[in-house]
Amino acid sequence: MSAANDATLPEVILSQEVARGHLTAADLWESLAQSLLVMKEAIASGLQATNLSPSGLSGGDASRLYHSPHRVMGEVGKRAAAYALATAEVNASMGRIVAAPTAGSSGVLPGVLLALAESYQFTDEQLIKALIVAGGIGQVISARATLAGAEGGCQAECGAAAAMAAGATVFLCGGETEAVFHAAAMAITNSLGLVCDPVAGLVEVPCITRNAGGAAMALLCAELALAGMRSIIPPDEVVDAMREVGHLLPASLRETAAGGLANTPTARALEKNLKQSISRKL
Amino acid sequence: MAGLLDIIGPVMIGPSSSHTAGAARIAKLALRLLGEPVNRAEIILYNSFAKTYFGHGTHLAILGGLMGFAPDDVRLRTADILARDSFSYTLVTGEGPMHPNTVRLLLTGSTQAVEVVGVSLGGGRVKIVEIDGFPTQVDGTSHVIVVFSADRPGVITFLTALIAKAEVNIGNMNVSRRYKGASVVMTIELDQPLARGLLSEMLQSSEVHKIVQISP
Repeated sequence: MSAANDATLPEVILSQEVARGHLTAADLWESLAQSLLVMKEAIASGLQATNLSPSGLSGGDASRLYHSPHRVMGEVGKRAAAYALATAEVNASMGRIVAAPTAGSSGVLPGVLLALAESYQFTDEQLIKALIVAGGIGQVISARATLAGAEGGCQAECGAAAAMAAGATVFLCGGETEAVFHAAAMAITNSLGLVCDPVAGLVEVPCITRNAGGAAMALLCAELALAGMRSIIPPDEVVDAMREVGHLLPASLRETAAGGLANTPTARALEKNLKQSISRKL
Repeated sequence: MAGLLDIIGPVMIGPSSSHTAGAARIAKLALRLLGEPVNRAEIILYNSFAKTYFGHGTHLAILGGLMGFAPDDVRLRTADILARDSFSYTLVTGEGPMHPNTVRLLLTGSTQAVEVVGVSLGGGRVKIVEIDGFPTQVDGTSHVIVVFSADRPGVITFLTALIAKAEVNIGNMNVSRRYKGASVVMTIELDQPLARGLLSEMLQSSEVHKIVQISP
């Protein structure tokens, strides 16, 4: 693959998709453009929301972070986290989002891309190409491992989303194709073993926090890759390791709410209260 | 390999691709299989669906799907209220060896009835695994006709000849029957949808009872 970033990798991914015979390049582009719009709307909606979700377990943090004067991370990082939180909060309250790759991890990719777009004035066309690159990375992870928390833990959702966003960021910033995949590999590396332990079985705690985590991880790994850092373990093997680790995770840590944070005294008490208020409603 | 739009997409109402979007998709496919508006629905949720349905809005997604709402329709949020004006329903939970995200839907319309079992595979992808007790593999991602017919020699030839005459290619075909001489459910995956006129022609045979065409 050539080192030129402008449309080479997205063109390859797009033409492979067209070759499958279901959709034209124009159809795909249109669908991605629509998804980008929904991503922007979800962020805008999430940043405005200050009230709690129906369960009361989350809400208002995106707005709080966005308006917060404290600055430890730098503008892009803080915005990416705020936008990731915004999307995840919208998801938790049955709002409209784009599953990319899943609803539970839907904040990571838009958080990163839209924060970068604001700071560096990337156009929608460039962002759509970045989505294609992210999609291509997700396809590899889906084929070699999994994108489901129930199979691979949160490695497979927020970890995968971070990998997709890391690669997409490298592409946007003009990095080589090799750097794209190594950024993705490093994001997965830093997510190995990440469990899925949803409190009360809801897609809120710690999912929302992990979306912010994925966004930060994506930016970090893109930075490393753009500076020339590479994963000694080739990207394909890193994805395979993620699959292996996923299988080694006990079921209690794979979206069953049986272990981890879901099994803490506070989580069990919250769960009990929620069940009681639900049976009162039904 | 998953499609690009399976990864970046679908646009959906949250919170869960498998327990919200997938559930809505299954219900919408079941509505198509009924072929007319629902008057009564019996909903049975199994395993993981049963355990998390309230928090994930699975019940809302299914009710919405039964009214024809797509997974990204904001009306899913209040589908239980909207459903009250549309049809009567019951919802129970169960457990068993089936897939963790399984729902059984017994639907009755003014002239039709159908029993559908659907499974939510993750990421919004689904599969209808049973129609009226017959095992099937309909996932809604390709054009498919579901044919309810009699188990007689010549029915398959009759149908495929008409499809061939229309120069439409068959990608996959599944024929299921309970026992010899009883009724049959056929699913025929096509590269293109069939014209209404062709479907009417198929229904002219007394052996063909019902055809539902599903497009992605």
